[in-house]
Amino acid sequence: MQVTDSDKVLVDRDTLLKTAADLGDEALFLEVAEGIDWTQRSAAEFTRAVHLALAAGAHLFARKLARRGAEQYPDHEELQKLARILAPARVMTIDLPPDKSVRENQIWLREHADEYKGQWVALRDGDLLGAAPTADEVWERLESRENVLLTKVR
Amino acid sequence: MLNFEDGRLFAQGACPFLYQPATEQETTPRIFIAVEVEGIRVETAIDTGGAYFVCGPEVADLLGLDPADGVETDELSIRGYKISGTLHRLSLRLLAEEGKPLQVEATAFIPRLQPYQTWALPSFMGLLGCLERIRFAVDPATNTFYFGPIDEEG
Repeated sequence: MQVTDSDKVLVDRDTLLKTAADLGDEALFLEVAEGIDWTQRSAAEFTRAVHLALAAGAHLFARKLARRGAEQYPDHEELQKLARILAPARVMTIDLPPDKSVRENQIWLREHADEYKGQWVALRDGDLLGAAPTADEVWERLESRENVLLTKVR
Repeated sequence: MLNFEDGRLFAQGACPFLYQPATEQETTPRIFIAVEVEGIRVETAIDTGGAYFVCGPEVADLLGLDPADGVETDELSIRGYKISGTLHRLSLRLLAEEGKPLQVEATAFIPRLQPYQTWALPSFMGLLGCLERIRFAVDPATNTFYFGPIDEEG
């Protein structure tokens, strides 16, 4: 099909952002988003754009935009929450002793996978505490939940 | 434990991992480690191609999260699939059989399923928002997963 000048339509950047998000087209989303002057955008526009970035798969951009929006609008609750949730992970070492039960539970899972495949199981120190078709059934039946591994047998 | 040439620690903790497919339909094995999610121990797949800590809805139901702490997303693109759900900030602990455990404050995504949908996948730890601040290494000879923080001097 031949496209003539009269067929061309001017599309605003916000519409293009939405289109890129609908298509899951991260590259298009970034191309459009980086051409926007965000200093002129409202808090609601920032919020909407963060959600569109998430839909487009532009997760790193969503983080940057949430942080920028939160800086620009320090009293906007939704932007503050988005910035906090999407912030880089924080890690710290904890001064606790090694936990030998990790291996014991994995040994149980390797040895009994065929018997319990598809079931949820609760294990402690390599011992089976319970099994059921759903996680909450197993969890509800436990007398003590301390150091219990809850997992679906795969 | 693993060290740099100058003696600094590369990893401060290590744990055994399970090497198994993520679902009954898959045959390609993945690395699973034991992680405590807000106090509940689960087996979690390592997914360096993914984003966030994606928490299986069965486990998320047991966490008793306050919806007011999260952000609803109508559509979030995870590995090319559009999924609706909630973003939260969760505290994870990588359990150590040797050395010290590691606490991670991560971006977590909790899928929201429709009544006709089921979640066949495990919980998994993606790179962005979760593993991004952790040094890690895998020894396939002993099925050992080494981990340490990049924010602290070893």
